Amino acid sequence: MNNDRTQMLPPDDPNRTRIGGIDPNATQIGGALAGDRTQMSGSVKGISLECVAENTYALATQSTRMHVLVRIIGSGMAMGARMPLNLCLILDRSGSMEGPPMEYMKRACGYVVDLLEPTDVLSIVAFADQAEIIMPARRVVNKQLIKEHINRLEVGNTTDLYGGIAMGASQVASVASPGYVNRALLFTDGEPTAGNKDFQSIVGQVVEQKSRGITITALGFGSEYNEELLAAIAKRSGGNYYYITRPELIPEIFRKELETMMMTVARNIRMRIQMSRWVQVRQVYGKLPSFGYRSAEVTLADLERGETQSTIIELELGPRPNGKYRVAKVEIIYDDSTTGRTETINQDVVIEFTTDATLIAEGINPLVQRELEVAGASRNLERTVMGMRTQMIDRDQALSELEKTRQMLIDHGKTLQAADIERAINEIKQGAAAEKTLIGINLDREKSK
Amino acid sequence: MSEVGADKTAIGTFNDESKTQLVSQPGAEATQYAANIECPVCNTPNPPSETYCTDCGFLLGSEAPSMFEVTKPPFAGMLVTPDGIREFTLKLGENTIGRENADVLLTHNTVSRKHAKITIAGGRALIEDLGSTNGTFVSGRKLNVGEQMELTDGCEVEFGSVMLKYKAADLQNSTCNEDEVSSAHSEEISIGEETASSVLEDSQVKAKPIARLVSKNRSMAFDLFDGKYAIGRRQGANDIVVSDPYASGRHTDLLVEEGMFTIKDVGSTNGTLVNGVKLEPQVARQVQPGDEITIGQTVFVIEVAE
Repeated sequence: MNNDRTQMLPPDDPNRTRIGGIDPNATQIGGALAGDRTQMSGSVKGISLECVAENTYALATQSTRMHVLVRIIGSGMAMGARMPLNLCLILDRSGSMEGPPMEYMKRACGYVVDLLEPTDVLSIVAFADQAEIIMPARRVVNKQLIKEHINRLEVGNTTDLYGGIAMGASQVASVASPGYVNRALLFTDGEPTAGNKDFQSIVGQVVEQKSRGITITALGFGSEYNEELLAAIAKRSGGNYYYITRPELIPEIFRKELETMMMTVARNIRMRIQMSRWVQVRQVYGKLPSFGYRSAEVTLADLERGETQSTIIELELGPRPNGKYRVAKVEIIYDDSTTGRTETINQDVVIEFTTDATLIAEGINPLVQRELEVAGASRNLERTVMGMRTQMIDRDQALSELEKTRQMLIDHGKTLQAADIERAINEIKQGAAAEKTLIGINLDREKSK
Repeated sequence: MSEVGADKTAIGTFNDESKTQLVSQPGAEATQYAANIECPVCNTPNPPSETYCTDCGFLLGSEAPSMFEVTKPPFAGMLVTPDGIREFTLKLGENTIGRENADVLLTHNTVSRKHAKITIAGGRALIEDLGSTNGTFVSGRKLNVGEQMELTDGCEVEFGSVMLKYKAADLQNSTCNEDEVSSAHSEEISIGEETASSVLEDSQVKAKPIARLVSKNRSMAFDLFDGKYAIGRRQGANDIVVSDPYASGRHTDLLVEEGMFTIKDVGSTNGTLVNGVKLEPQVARQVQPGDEITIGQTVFVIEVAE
């Protein structure tokens, strides 16, 4: 408990100035709370929030662009029962799945059934020339019967991915009761070849499902699928993306992803930035915010236990008289798996405006600088992958860019992602295409292990 | 029953609710109102429970700022979303529009990294497409690459699929409402050659400028009247803002007096050059119209108005 509370305090708390005997800092630590300090209230919540500005100072005399790092951290402890899953398996049974891939996929689905409990809901949709419901949404009670449904799967011909996603999402949506983690697990080995094949329409559909609270994890198998499409599906819906190289790895990845889903501590996460006067949001890195009067809002991916998600906001701060100002209030609204309710936590971003330029140099926060460099690396990586896909850069250029990124990630302690890049570098050196590995590297999310 | 009730109210003086609340029995709300804290910066009244001003965010109870003189950069125009929620302020000189590192940052996937630029000089706003993938449209007409088009107040500008409205400087400062904006438009159509921009200039520039400071590539131009002009890169600190990364924040002063022009470098990093000769810092030197004045990497000349 104490661990969680200490985390919530910003490392350099500008709130320390006392006002009329009320010390906001003391209130944060203590139990008795008023108004918007609800984040510190008695019950422990599934996530905590940290907001850190690039600099604690800004020049009062001119416009300043200021980055703010927002981190949400999933509680590291398992508290209470996990949230029940409402899961749909959306399975590719196109012709190319014939043989071992189909057998391993069936086995993987069997594992999923074994891991689920009677409180969970499962549905199964398969797609080939068109999509069809193999099993409508139901509680996982008779596991043997469900496995029989799975074993009846047969290979077809083409790939109606769009139809599969639409039908799977409607199965998830058909379970109306709240409190479920709504997920779809999409497994495919090919390009969409039937139904709606348009990239933008497919991604647009995914975005619509996300707005209904349904997150899609995308599993790509083999060398024929469209990694750009699958990565976009996962990214837009806040789900994970996996690249499965060999059929015998299919069951392991299914199991891994299912465990991830079961560790969800917060879902339907929205971040709202409320701006004070003379403040504008220039951008939220990697997101498309919706803007309201003095506010901007983005959706974030579901958060797992122990996971940290970082988001960088860029603000434009207008000139003003000297003094300390709350330039923005960051609010996180989400469904908490620990309390079982929709919760809100928030934090102020406070900046001191000064005419003393020497203070600016003192106020720099190295943590935010570091995250900005990582964000830069993330963009470089995207560009490298795009360059490789469009053959705008050759093998040597790609290798040198990747090596630079890898070194940078090691310097910043992102060892997992650095290892992924190393794997991609080796793939390229062996003459293989590394795009499917590279496109899945996500630098804003840091898992606990 | 209802008559009795009416009677009671009619008796009045005893149970006048408003009186009781305000004077004899201050309730919770009354106390709050009494102790409202007015923000020393923006004058917004704040309930005492607030730590920061609900409007400008100033830390209430901290020392009121002594310096209220904030030199705002001159308003040069803006782009606004159709719902009026987002405003992108434009500065004098060049404004880039794009998806990355742009002055007007539009993070939309139909907007190119370097999409377009708007140059504001001499009371005119010129827009140019920088070879964007999805094109720039002004009032529905697509710009050719390299073509410059003048923006008129209220016109619609599209960057890819992002649509913004242009608001010109003078109309923003005056109390002009939507109707007047549209009437200015209809005038433009009916009068033909006398465009809205000439209408704008009349209201904006009351007196005729003595001269103009114009960059040699004609991308920047500034009207000069009698007086002293601070020239430099930084918004807010200068009367003439030069969008040149090699110009210092505060670069040079230009004095215009009785048809004479005097220039003084105020300690810039890269110096101020007149006809290729570097000026001593803080030493004033007279310049003639036609002399080449180099600030950063931009060469200016003074042109006397006819």
